[in-house]
Amino acid sequence: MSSVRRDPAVSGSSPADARARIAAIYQDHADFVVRISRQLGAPAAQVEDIVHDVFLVLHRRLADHDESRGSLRAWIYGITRNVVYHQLRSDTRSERRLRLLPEPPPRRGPDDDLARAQAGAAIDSFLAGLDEDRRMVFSLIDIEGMSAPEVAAALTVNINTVYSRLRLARQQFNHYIRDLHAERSDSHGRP
Amino acid sequence: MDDLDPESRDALRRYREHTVLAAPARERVRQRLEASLAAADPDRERAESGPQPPIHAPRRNTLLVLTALAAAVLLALCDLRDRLGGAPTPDDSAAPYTAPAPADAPTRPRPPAPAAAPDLAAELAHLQRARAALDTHDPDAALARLGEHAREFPAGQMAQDRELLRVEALCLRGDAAAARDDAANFLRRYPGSPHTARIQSFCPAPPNPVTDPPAGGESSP
Repeated sequence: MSSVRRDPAVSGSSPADARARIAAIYQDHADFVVRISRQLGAPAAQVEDIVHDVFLVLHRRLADHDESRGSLRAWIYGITRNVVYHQLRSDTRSERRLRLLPEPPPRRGPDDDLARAQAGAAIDSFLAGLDEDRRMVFSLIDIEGMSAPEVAAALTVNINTVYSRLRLARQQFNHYIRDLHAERSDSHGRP
Repeated sequence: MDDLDPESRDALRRYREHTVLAAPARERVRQRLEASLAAADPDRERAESGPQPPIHAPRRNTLLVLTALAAAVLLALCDLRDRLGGAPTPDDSAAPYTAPAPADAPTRPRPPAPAAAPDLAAELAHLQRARAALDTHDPDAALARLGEHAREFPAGQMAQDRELLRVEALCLRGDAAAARDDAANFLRRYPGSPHTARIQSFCPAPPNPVTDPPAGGESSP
């Protein structure tokens, strides 16, 4: 993920400037929105709609964004969370059940793609088992590369809370990956 | 602070590479976003100049004309196919709209000619307002705009598009059952519609392992 883009002065810019700026933010941060949406529980089938809506809201609120109160990604995170929660609230219970089902694995593809897809499914499954507070700290820092103070601002929690959640999530994740490797070598070793 | 194992870091890196918008989806969303932003920005200009698109906005104008043309061509094709008997018509529900008035019925005004271009622009304006309401998560406003369209153009050229938006609005409002009912009616009324896949994507019912083939359509391993 590239570093946070420096803002040109937003106030007083024309609609065309605002659209160009949204296009640049989309280029840099669309994938961030995809991952955050998935981690907040958005079903894969709705991710495109959510990304669209997030950037529409970003565009509407562009003039309100104040970098002194938090990074661009912290701001995008907040908007993504609102859009996802709104979307999930309008789902019925049956869709929520559907969402808990893991994504089907890809049917075929080069080994590289398959390995990535398997890694993706394994980590989806790990993240789904974490409670949401811990999951978002872990994801924003260890997957997205945000700093602890940035995450404290995004989640509006104390920085010590961020560190403590991160420490516990990392311990759990290290265990999970070791177990996964152990299982794989077991199954490969068997005749 | 506990650190991550190298294997853990590696797994997270692969996850990051995997969990992205693939290029076609990325482009699709980009285009849709551009269209939404173009439709959202000039709202004030358009309100002042009426439902016709302003002449001084060539890109937006082109987009509107292309959308209208595409819709007109699609619907003309569907209409032609129906007339040629290619698709069954659910007679009970369609009859009130499609039955021609008897030639000697002087008390009822004739419905407007179906292919009049100003009507198409007016229809499009209704549906664009509904689309804009949906984009700002306001399904009630969208349904109100769609209701207006239905009253003004009960047999309009963009009736299919209206139904599509209606299902999306119901779904957004949380009326999943109503959305599915409407989607089912749509599929019965417009078999072979170009909107078939999209209308089924709102509020999808849980997959049925018997009737729903696995994605990809290949034979099972």
